[in-house]
Amino acid sequence: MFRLPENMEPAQRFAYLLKKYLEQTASTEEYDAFFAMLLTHEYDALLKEKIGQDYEHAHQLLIDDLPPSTAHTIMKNILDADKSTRQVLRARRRLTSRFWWAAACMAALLAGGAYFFSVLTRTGGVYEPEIPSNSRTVKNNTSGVQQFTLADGSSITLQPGAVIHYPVQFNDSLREVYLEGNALFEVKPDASKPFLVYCRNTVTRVLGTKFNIITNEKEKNVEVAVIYGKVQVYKNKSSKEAEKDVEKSVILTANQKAVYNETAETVTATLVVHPVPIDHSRQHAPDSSAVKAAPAAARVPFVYDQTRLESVFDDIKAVYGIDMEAENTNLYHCLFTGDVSNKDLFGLLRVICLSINASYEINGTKILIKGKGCPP
Amino acid sequence: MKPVYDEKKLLKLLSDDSEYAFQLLYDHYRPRIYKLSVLYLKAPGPAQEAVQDIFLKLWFSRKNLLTDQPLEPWLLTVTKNHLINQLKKVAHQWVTIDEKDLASGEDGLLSLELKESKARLAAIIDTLPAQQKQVFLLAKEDGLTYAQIGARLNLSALTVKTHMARALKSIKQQLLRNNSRFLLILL
Repeated sequence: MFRLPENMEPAQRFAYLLKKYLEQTASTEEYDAFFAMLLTHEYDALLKEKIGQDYEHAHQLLIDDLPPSTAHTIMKNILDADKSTRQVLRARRRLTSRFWWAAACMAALLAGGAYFFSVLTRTGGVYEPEIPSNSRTVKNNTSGVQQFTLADGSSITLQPGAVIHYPVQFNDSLREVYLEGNALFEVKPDASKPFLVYCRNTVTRVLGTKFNIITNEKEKNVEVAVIYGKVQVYKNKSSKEAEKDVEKSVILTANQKAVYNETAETVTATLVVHPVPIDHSRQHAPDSSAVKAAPAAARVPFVYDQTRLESVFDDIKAVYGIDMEAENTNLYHCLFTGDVSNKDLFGLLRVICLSINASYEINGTKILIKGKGCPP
Repeated sequence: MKPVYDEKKLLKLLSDDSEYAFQLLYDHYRPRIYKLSVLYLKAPGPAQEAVQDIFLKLWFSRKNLLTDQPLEPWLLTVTKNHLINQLKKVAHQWVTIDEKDLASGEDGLLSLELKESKARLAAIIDTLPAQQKQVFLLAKEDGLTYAQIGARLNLSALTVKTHMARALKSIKQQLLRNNSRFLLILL
């Protein structure tokens, strides 16, 4: 058993124990001694000094940074804490699972036009995203798609007429690109450098995903629809300076979309028009045509025989990743028999609702089933 | 650390509730603060909470920050205070758990010399929750310190100590239930 040197000055001893604590080489007795000294509060100044020194070299520590999903959860917790409940949700305690980076994201920007870019530079907002002086601009003047690769290995496929502005070399902390028109992104995962897509007044933060951005010039809105993975959409502050209203930011997962309304300057989250089964195994982006293809049939057969509605809901949640809610719990007792495996989500819901005398409505990013339900 | 973009501009924006500015600052300073927190708190979970609490403080203080001052010293002070407070909480819990007491004393665990009793002890250990069992075996059979076990299992020494106390308590209860009169030299 290791004995603590007895002849040390208290401060020296504390420094010695602290070092062993930090190196995780302290024996249990040394832990006892270290914590006892800590609780006297006499060594706070010493401890502060050491923390300060360690901060200087913290970037060299052989410790993995937070997984991006956790970093993001924490961010969201903080903003949520302020906005509504003031309750601080604890970050998930331990995230052992590796953050799942989908290999690609898809951004299809319709319309948009040169106006978008000037929005960013002309507003005189307090913050203007710096477009590096060495940035390049690529415009697809052909009638087909045009693909090229960025310095970080991410590739971009431009639809006809699309324009992209990107730096030759990304900066140390962010990968930012500016888009007009339609484009397909295949983003190389890099936890330390988030990938941001600027489109008109919105910023889409790629959290490892594939998604669709559609700008509608007439309706003055921008729509971001997620095919799989996760994105965060928020208003670009440069588009409106010093606003006092609560800035809206939404996190989207598969089959959800955000609509940014330029007139009302709000971001609302809802479901995509054609939810498709989530393909968890997808490792690469399909070509852009697949995105517009009709929704594929569910991979889990929706075939039921006297099945409680509750388990039908579970299947929907599992296949589409969409939360189902019942207006009253009696609905869960309803039984459904039939084969709805060839229907898309809303077709399926229509059949089920007809059979149990209920109706459904889209409530934000959830589907609410309304009706009296069945006796237990 | 070199400031991110124009930090003064960002701080001005932050004071105007810009989440975007906050995000940039968060992404810039977070990795160091997180790593430092892991170094001092010895486990990712508490370090994540530290990051959240520290940046929550930044967000709540956004109206009161001096925009012409660099942010880093402010953040570092908050971080120092937070880490010291957390360490003291850990220290307090550490000294409160007295797991050694559980293994000795009047109705303590008796030494097992008989082979069948050893087998029974093994059976009892087998019923422990996985992590308690793992901690118990690493401590008792491999003779590792709590810190070493913590390093191996990615837990803080405090958590290890807590697991150990729970494991010992439940072993003791089961032995007593079986009216065991054996003294087990556990520690």
